[in-house]
Amino acid sequence: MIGRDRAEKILDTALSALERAGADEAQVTLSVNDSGLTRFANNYIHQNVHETDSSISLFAALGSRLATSSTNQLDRAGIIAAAKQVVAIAGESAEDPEYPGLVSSPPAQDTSNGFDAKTSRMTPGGRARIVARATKRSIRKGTSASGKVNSGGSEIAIANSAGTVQYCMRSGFGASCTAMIDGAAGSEDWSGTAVGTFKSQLGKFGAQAVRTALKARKPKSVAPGEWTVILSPRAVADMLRFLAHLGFNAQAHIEGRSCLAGRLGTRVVGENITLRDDGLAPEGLPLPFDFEGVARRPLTLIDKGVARELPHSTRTAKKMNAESTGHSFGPASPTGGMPMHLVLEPGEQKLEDMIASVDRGLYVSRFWYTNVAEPTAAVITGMTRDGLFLITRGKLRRAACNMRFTQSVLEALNNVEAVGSELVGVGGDWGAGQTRCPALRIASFRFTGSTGF
Amino acid sequence: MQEILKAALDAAGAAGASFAEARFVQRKSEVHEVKNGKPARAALSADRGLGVRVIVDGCWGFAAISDVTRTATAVKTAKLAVKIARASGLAPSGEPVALAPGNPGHGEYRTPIERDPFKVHIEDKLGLLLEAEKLLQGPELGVTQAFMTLVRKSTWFANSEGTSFDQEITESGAGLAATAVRDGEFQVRSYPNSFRGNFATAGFEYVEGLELAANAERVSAEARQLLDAPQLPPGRRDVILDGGQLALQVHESIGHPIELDRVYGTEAAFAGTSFLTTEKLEGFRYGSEHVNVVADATVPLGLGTFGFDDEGTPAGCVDIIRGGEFKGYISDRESAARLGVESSGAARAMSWNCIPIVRMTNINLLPGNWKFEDLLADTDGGVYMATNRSWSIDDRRLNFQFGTEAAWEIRGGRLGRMYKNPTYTGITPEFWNSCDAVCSRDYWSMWGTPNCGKGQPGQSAHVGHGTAPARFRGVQVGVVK
Repeated sequence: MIGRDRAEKILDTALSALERAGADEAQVTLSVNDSGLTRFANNYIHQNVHETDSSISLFAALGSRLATSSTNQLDRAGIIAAAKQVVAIAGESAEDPEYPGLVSSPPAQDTSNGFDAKTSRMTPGGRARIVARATKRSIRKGTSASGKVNSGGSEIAIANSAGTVQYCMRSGFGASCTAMIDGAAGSEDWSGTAVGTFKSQLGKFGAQAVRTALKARKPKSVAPGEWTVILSPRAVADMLRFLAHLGFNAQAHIEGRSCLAGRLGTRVVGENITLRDDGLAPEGLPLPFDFEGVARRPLTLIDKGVARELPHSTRTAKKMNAESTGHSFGPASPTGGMPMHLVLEPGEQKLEDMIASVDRGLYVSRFWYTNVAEPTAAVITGMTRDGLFLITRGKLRRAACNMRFTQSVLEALNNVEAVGSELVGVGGDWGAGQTRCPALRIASFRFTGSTGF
Repeated sequence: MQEILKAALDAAGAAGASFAEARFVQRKSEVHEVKNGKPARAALSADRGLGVRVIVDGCWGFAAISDVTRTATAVKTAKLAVKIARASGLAPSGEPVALAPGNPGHGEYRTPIERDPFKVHIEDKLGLLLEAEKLLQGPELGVTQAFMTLVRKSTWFANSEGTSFDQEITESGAGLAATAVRDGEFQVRSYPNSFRGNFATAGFEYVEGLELAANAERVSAEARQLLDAPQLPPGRRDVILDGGQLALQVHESIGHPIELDRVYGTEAAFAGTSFLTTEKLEGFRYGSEHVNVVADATVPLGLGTFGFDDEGTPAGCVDIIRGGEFKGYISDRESAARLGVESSGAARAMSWNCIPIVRMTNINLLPGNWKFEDLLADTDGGVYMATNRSWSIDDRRLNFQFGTEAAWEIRGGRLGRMYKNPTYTGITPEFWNSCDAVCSRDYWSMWGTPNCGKGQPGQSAHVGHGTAPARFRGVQVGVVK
């Protein structure tokens, strides 16, 4: 970690170099990463790594001829060479008549409460001791545990020739464990900005995975078809991320490639669904500005079933007569803005009550290898993994063999019969934001294939 | 460079490492994209850094740093790697790490190229893309795109056993995509493959040889035709897969299951395991007699072609499936030692900041004897499916489902009615045992996959697959309603 002052000096050096090289407009994005990851499998640590890197991404505009360049050679000579190179490339590029120009943005909200120094400095020994809690438990219970514990800090700073200067520090902690026995598996996955968030849970690391694995033994085949399901927050998060990708990309709306193109302001899912994007919430791995330096604004994507707001970059905002919402991937990015911090509004039912309300159905712990099967209707396909359980007469009775689902996300969110009361943070290990969502009870969820395990 | 590598190895040894390797990697890339008649992206990137991997008391440690201007930094990084390895011993430990024999000595390798892609003028690159992309444009073509990706990765490697190599890999690739849009529906056709085209270890001559412009109007017309096409109905059909789709089928249902680290559970929590447990090593019938597969890191143009893997093992070609029978895994030195064999030379790291893990090289389905025209004539009532659109497979690599951009009914030895949104699903060994014909070498080509994800922290590998169109009997198609 280099701190704000050092970061701003690098930004100044690079901006000056771009201007001297002849850029009419320029932007510099600095990324600093200092992170470690301890990985375990078969109940012991088998990979253990640490990385320190700093890099800059340079953007240059000569009129409306654009180019970007990145380098991790941050001495003066390296920066000047990269600046000259990107300006030269821009000079050889063709005009982009839709380039909206760089904007001046006021400082974004301070999200320094998303940084925890202790987490950013966590040692390999500290991570190993957390791993040991899971592996010792796993050995005692006769399972085989695998997973990882990661920790680290990062800095992102942006400055442009329009006067924008932004800086934020972030820390990240993640711990995941998969326990396996007799071909059955269970897993758990935590992530957040600070290891302290999980202080009361660290002693139980791996316990949920082991319990689920033991319960998931001797699964019974069940027939594919339409089932009532209780999706865990991890499974719900998987669906929501695909909905964000397929439905809430403003560039795709402009081009008619979105499953929600032309449907803003109309009801697209059930009235019990309200979906927001909040990149400022401290518990959701905040990132207070985008990669144009524009302050990120919380959005209501779906309000009681009605599609409402789109995340915008400066480019898509100009085309749709809107304002940037701070969701860009950079001034030269052809990709429209994307929501990266999804929050599905919780309901009132506890998970136990949701399960108790199902006469015959399936509890899904997790989806795996999900992909788009048909984008126009937001149909996705994937597998269940790490614990699929048959529910009969309100109780989790026994494990079921894993199944393949092929299901429209929009249809699924139109068939939600109950929304869980507990928000759980899912994902976000690799710099992306976290999705926070509750469990859902969904009717007529379509499974299209089965396995023998 | 040798001075920095030596400093790192010496420091690791002095700090207590029984084994050490140091790898300095320098990468650069250039990406161009043209969209709807305008340049949409011109992006260069470059990075470099040093990674040091050590074994201390039977445990691994790895540290990497980008700031490697001084030998003192290399020494510090090596000491951190040793500290990390010692920390690995704080948790219950497994068997001490053992490695299959190494390959002491020095080697050099450079991708053979005719035209250095980084010396071609930007205007020429953009001109090639703009010309082809213009030919994609037309009524209902909402988005038309042309892509070019150029990569160079230089590696300097040395380990404490006396193995060292210098290597320079050059990759070139390009492609087209046409998206037809009408009334809330859109359909995409791509050339020569989806997701930004095709890629090879080659120079700019590869991009020129793709003949993007010559294929643009067909691609564009097919995208429009898909809007009017019916959906592929569900049922069991005989299916011919084109080379591009078959490449991803090989990748997901052969390439990943044969990774020996997955078999041993070291990827269980993330990428998953494999159904291909070691008792299947001899005698398991993976596919029909027509299925012959090798892992070949030496084949020209393969995106997984190199001189040395990232443990210094020279590139080679190993049998994976012969006559349908499973013959061998791909491995690194650690997993190979556990099985009691030599490394297959498949230890690959994305860059300086990543450890080498078992990755595909070029997993190739060897050609058969069929002419494509004869195969069509022999498959009346079947379906020809082309160009991958979607993929998914379970964590043991058994239950898969794929979607392609387009399909055609096969009638009277010709491609007939077109279908949109085609999908098919199956179980890996059942599917490969249903293969009864593979086209000949005349139809066989290399397909590059530049985005194979695995490992934590995540690594994206560049791998290749040689395939020719092949036929599979009685496949479940039309999964999407």
